[in-house]
Amino acid sequence: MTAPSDLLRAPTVTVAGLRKRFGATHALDGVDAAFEPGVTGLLGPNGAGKTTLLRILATVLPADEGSVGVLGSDPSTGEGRLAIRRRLGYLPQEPGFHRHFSPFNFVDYVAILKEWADRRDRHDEVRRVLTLVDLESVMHKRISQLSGGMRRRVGIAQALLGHPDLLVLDEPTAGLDPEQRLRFRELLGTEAAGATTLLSTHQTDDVAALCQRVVVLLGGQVRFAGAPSALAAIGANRVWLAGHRDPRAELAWVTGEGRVRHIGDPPPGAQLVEPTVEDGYLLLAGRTAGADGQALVS
Amino acid sequence: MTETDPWHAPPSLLARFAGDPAALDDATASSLEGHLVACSACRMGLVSATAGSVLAASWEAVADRVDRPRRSVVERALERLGMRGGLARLVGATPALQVAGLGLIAVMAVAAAVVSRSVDARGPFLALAPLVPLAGVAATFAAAADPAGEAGVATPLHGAGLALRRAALVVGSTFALLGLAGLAVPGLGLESAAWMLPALALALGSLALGTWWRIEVCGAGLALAWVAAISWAWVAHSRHLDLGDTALFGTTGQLAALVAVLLATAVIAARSDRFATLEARS
Repeated sequence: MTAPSDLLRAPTVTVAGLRKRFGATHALDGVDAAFEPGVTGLLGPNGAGKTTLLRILATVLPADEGSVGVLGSDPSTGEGRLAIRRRLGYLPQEPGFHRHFSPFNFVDYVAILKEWADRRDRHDEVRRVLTLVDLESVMHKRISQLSGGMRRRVGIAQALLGHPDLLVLDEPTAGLDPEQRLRFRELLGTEAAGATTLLSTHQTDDVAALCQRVVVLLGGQVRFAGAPSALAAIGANRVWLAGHRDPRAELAWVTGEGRVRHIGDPPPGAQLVEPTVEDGYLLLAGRTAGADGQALVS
Repeated sequence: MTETDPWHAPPSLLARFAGDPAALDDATASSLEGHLVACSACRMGLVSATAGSVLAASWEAVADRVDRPRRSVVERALERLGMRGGLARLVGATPALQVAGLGLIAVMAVAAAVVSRSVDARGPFLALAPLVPLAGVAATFAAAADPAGEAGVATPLHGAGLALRRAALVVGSTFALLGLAGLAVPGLGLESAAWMLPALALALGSLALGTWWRIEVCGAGLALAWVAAISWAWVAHSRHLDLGDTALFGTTGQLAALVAVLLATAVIAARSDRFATLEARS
């Protein structure tokens, strides 16, 4: 008999052997991954395939090869795509706003596309999500007059319409100031409770603060899948502080306190420090660049 | 029950009754109504509950009125024609169907007619008119023209149904404007309608090819092909401007255009799935 806690942990999104090519470029080159309810962060450098993977899961791009299962449906069929879209909230990397739209108009327009037929209910929902992202005071201004961070929040608002079961967010915190990033983390905790949330980011502190799991994509392949603490643990005994730059380190930078933080193989007697998710990610990216290409799954 | 009855309806029950009496089951509603006749305290409670719900409903109505997006001319026209409000909004936001877009289409249509009139021949109008719906369709389906961008693609209503409604309205509008402009063309007759099938073939052709490549590129390619065909017809017709007499607009040309229309329709039907994703745009 399956325990309720196991059901909650059962994957809601799965991909196997996923490939996608754009001309001669292999954006995804045999991706296998499973995503459970909760927040999963996608890490990887530009061009690693994060956006392509999210687009495929959000049904806006078809895969070339491989199988994809999203909330029990197959996005390669019309029926499956419709079923997924009815339970999906998607924030693209570049939402693309109509220049005459206000935040209210834009979110209302997306709500119509999401089959909110009753005008009064729809407008209530639009006001609710715009209030959630603190845009109620500017919801009738033109989007073209808003700052980049505010536009990002308009995008987040439309993704939250109707409490979706699957949230696919491509760089949701890009352009947000520190206070808004904290507000976003809080928002995700309440609005996405019970949902499966996949977010791509370059902010490793977002991953550490928000995500139960992290997947690292490098060169169109999954190189790590596990808990953020397991990613950080890759840096165990490999991060140290010193007064001067050590040329043997893989990477080194001066910290705010004026000391040099190193990652790599430490010299004897080095002052080792607790590794962060960023340290683990940098080590993994560096190691994978010239190594065996085996994925680490924990 | 009497005024001395110690029982009073709970505020939550009164609030539900005030909000929507039909939401209560028949027995509860009937019992409460009987009690209200006899109990002044509960009647007072009902007055405050009603005031609260009326106030809330009024406030919601005011907020809804204030927040309601202003409807465009096209959206209002579509609603008058019987299209549901939401769908009219989706279609009405198409750039080529907004006032500026329609204005541009009208200018192109009038310009085609004016050129024909100035040289006293149908040729220029017949040559230019098919390009107008083609431009409208390309402008409607260009990636940058989508009112909701990529966020809108991942929604249930995005797909062939919406795309074809938009296309039909753009083609319909351009045909209507060209039809009106055509009244100014000299030698009005059945031959003056010879632009219609080629126009439909070009518009549908761009949509069909747009399932493989970017529609702006397909539109530009078809426009060039049309200009080449017109140039050929003009040269073959001893550089005479009345192109209505050439094979391009004669039976052969009309049959070829009809075949192209049927072929494009078949391609669109077979590849309608492509309208549901960004595949052709990327």
